[in-house]
Amino acid sequence: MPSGFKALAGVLLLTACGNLSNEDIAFVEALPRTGDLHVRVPVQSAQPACALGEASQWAVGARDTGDKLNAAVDAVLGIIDAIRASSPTSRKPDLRVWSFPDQKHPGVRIEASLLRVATQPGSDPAAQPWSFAIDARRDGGPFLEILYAYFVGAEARSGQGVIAINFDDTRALQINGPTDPTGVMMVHYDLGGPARTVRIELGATGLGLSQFSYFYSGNPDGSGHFDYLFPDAQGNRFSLQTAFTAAGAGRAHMAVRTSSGATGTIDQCWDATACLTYLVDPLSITPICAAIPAPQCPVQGSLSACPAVP
Amino acid sequence: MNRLLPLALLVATGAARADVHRFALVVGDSQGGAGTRQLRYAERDARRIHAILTRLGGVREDDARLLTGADADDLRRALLDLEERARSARERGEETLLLVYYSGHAKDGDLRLRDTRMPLTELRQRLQDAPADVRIGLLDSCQSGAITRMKGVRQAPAFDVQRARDAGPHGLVLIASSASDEESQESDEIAGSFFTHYLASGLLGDADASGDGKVTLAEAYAYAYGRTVGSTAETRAGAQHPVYLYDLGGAGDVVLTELAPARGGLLFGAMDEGLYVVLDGQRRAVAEVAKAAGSSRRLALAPGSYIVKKRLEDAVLVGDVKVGDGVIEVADAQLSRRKLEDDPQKGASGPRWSVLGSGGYQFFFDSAARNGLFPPAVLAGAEVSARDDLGHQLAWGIDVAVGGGTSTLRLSGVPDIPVRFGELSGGVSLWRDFDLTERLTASVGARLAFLYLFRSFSGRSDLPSQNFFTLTPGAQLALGWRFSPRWTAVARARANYLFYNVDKDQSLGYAEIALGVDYAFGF
Repeated sequence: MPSGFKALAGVLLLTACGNLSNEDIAFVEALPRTGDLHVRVPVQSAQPACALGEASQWAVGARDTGDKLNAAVDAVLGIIDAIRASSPTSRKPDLRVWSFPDQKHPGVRIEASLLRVATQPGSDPAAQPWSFAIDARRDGGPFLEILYAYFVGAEARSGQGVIAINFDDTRALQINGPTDPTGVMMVHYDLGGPARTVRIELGATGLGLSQFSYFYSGNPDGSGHFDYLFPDAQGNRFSLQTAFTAAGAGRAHMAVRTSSGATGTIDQCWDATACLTYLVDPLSITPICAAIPAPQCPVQGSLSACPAVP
Repeated sequence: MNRLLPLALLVATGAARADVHRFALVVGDSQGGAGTRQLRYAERDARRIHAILTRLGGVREDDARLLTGADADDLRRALLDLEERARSARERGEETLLLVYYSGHAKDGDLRLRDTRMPLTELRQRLQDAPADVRIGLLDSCQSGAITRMKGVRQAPAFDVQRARDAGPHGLVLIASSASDEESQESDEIAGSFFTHYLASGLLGDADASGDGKVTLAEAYAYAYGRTVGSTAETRAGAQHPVYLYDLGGAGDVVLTELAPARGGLLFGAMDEGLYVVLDGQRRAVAEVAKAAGSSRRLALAPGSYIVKKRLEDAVLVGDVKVGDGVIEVADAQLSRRKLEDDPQKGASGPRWSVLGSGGYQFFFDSAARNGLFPPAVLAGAEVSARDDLGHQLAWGIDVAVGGGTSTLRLSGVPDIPVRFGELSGGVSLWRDFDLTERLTASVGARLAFLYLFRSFSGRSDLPSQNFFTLTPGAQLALGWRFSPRWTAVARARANYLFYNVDKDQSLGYAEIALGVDYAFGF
């Protein structure tokens, strides 16, 4: 190459700058957005007048629990949205790194790295694996891993992945929230099948949620399943398996451990307005049976009133 | 001044040209080969003379030959062709005239046409022997006066020779723009050689001293001589003296142009006096009129738009005129008074400013780049340029353009992402103009530009907007067609180099094709 051309190329290299990159977009498209992992329970607010006299507190609880899970996901994964919206600070052929100070926590520096795991040439883009990690350090101290994730798929909205959030490290870095649990929260998702599934394993109670393995499966039409743990004000714990229609009607089978240590199951159905339409409560825990000694509370409503659910 | 013809004698000459079959060979060549420097206006001078002879000089298009960029053999062939035609005409009993005009280099006794030569003796002999009743050689080149000093031709004192009463003029006339030891000078201000400029002005009418609407050979020479000597007296090279050799017999003088057949023109009224210069759309002198009060003077100009200027001591009078079928009278009162620095002709020797508005299309050569990072864009731009600033026919300009469009980002395994992109670019250009014809100009040059690209992703607020800035060197080629004195239609193509370094280091090329209109200032 003539020296003059080299000099020209050098000058142009010095002047060329910017973030115009298709690869950057390809990288961030592999990152899940918080909305992708939301639990969507279509339960309406309870109506004042229900045929059986009360609303299903578990139906309403499903929605409330879903909202808490969503808030937890948003709080933890919101940083991924921030990373997506900014350009990498360093680029290598299969690696992007974002490094920036944490605006909410002075003295804390965050470094996120997204690695495109090498695959065989010609591999299906839907099977492309990615490794993602967020590390942070305070005041020049050692980096601690606060999030690790492994994704599969060119696009997170149709991919699979697992995200592990280490609350012990966020606490060590003093960037934790007041209700954060201890231990690790795992988020498993599969958005590529006919139903979106999200499993959130909470290692300890926190974020307004009980320690539990929450599971949500949502169909494209809005119907779905939601398994969750629901404690009531009396100290009873209900482990529920719910199924609901797109309109919000549903049915639930729950395992109950009362505050007194008794166990049993309850079945109930509700309509699109969250009103109970069917109840089998041998423990007399629900308000409609509370005045009746267990296990004498009769079946309330009709099984035929239960909706067809997926 | 002893070489200047007695004007009184000349204007007494009467003649007609209508019944003479005329042939003209007009040669202009700016390249004189090794040891010569390129002339700037030789070819333009030739085109001016050719246009005047075919429009006013009674030379039919079929009987005229215009050679530019030719070599000596081309000249010989063209001259032989016209000789044959003249011979045929003569055999039919017609009176004939053969005129050869040459603008270019001459050195060491030769006409220099690129790397070829034609001895002046050969040309003179060809004219001497040519089968035409009147043979005229007009040479506008350095040391061309040597042709008049050669043996075998009588060096006559002037046009006061004995005339035969029973026949029209016949014989040989040679006129050279400078003496055998002088340079023939060009002028940037008039965009031509002094001699041809004044010869052309004279042929267009200003040399019509008799006022009979005909410009004779003697009138044209006398006029060109006087104006050339006068205008070059103060130049660095010194005064340039045209010379002639005359061997003409018979009755009457030779009429070179007749003003009457021309449909239109300018008439400078009897009331005004002074030196008027007529400029074309490129602000180059087409003709001059130097007149005294009390007589009018007509210039038989071709239809078109012109600028007339008259320079005063402290100001300049300027006016636009459009010549059509009729005669337009020019009077000082119709001209606008401007500051001296607004002299439109000043641009010929200084910068001529103009602004170009254009719309264009930009595309990258590499299909991957075109379908990805750098999609085709529509651009609108403006450019300010200065011509003849850095040198003759050299121009520079500063331009800016904005543009953009929409496209789609396609990534493997990812749904298409709509993209909206924009672009801001600008640069500095340096180019050289080449006048292909009076109205058509080609230019070739180089450009260093900056390019700022930015894009956002429609409906995807979660994705960051992106941008890229770099410098891009390139080359440009343009064609300009002047359709009025101020306005020129321009077609321009650019090819640029771009170094991209975000995803990976990559050398890319892109082109810009634009159409625009250029507006010239300074009128």
